[in-house]
Amino acid sequence: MEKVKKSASPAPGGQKRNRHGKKAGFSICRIIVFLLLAIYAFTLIYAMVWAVLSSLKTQTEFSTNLIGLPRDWQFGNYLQAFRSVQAGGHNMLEMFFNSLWYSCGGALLGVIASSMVAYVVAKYEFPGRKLIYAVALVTMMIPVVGSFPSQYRMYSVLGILDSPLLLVTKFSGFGFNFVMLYSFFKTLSWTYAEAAFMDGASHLKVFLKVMLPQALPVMGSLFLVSTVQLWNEYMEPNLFLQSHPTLSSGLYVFQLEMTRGTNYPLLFAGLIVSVIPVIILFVKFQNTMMESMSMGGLKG
Amino acid sequence: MEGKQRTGKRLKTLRKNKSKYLFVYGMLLLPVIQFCIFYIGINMNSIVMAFKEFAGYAADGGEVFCWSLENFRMFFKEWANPETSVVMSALRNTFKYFTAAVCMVPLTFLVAYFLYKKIPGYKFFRVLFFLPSIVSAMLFVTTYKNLIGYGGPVDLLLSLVGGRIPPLLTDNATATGTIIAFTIWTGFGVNMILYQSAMSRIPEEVIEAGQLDGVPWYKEIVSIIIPMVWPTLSTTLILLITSLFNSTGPILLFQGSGVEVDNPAITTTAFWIYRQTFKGANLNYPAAIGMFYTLVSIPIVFLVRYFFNKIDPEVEY
Repeated sequence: MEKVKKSASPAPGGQKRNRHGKKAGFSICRIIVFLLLAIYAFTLIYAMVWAVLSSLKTQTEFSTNLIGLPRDWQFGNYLQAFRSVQAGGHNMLEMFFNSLWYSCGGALLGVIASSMVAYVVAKYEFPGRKLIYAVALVTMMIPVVGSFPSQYRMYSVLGILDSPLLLVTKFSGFGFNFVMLYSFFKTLSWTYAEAAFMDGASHLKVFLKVMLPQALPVMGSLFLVSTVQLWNEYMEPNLFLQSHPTLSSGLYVFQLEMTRGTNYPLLFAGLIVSVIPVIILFVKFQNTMMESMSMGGLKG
Repeated sequence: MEGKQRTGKRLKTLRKNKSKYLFVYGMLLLPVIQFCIFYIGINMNSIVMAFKEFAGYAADGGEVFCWSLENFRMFFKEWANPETSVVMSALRNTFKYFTAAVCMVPLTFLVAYFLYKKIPGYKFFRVLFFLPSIVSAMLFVTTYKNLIGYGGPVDLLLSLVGGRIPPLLTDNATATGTIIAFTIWTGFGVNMILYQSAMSRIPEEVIEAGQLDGVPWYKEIVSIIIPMVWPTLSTTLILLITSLFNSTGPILLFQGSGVEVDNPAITTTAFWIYRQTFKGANLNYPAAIGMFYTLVSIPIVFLVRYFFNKIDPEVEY
């Protein structure tokens, strides 16, 4: 009997010890993971700080003093970058302007087109509705590999190659923007619209004056994410907009065009200027961007 | 009288429906035309291009193409010489990028888990690790190239222990691995946020119940977290497999300073197609290769989707 008692009594204590042991194990794990993440974070911070410091050196100092602080802080490099950084004869101001219309214009067209399609598919019954919904979903699943040759030929035939008219390709009503706006409009109450219809408002007026204003926050975050993505895009402008280099594609061309050793401080100054608008947006809309971009990664 | 009323009502409904359909189809008109040209048109053209080859010049100087299977014949010939063929080398590199991306999933998941568990500095880490996803890749690539270059900080560290950094990007044996390392270095952001927000939606009581039962952290991941966030996890895996043949890195930006991006040791399938288009030599051959890989990947994607849906525990919370 005593034996039974003896064997039964240590159990709770043992469990406690066990739990403590597991907790201690997890704490050790947390410390190890923290150290690993801190090292990883350090590499990222170091890289960014190094890029900023490099942009403040002279070209000679960059090659002789790659790691240390600048001896003479060359803040003038940033002004110089606007004067000297060129891609195919276009200076940085032109590149900045090209980036602006390409990213903001493309993002705006995409959001407008998808809000139009998403609204009618979510709120109206009409012949072809299910087909459009199915097409929107299936096209997102089909993994098209390398359509660049066909795109190039089509754009050339349509006369939009190497022209701002290329933006029509961004007027896409389907894809990730559609999915997000469709689910938003689907859950949006129809009561306000019904009241407006009773007052004699047309379908277009209800869409523009009643429903669209309610969708503006969602559309805004989609616009923000698309703008950042297009701002950083370099492959498409490099291929289809060679006479209108954006900052991302232009700085790549600048680096290639410098046949006798790249002027890295100027290149870094240009790159940092190109990053500033995105950083400002990120600081201002951090949570919106992080949530929307992760959803983009999921759906898109 | 009743008949008149009924006709009036029908007319009113008809007019109402007419204005509704006018609005609906009016809204759809431009996006659908855009879709027909820039999605259906481009993909149909890819198929047509795949089955055509250059036949010479017409009297007006325009290029003439004729129907042919030559592109596919060329492609299958490349399969016979896997060691010397650029297309095969590109495929091998594509699989390397894909494998790295698959390996990144558990790694990102673990990072997300520890951030979810509020490791010290988790808010800062979250923002910092996300930054490379929104900052121009050109800035990070140029920095990375210099950091791992001769005379750079990594070289300096190695010199402290008597070593020197080898020319990683110009050596065929290490070039792709070095670019893959870059994609890993900057590739935590988006999925990390995604997993973390999925984890934060798990009800607190579920986690607490596990903790009361003394479930260790690794068991918590396997038995509680993974099943609860499986829809998110499976979607990222499906997306990864969807882009199997499109797996690549920012190879273009590595060009310069002795790195030749058309080098077969560096290129991937998607990037090779891009470069062929850029050079504009023969667009039909890359179009055929793109079409072939698209056809191969469609059943794979749908099978994987089917398989994942089968094992999906469909957790609702």
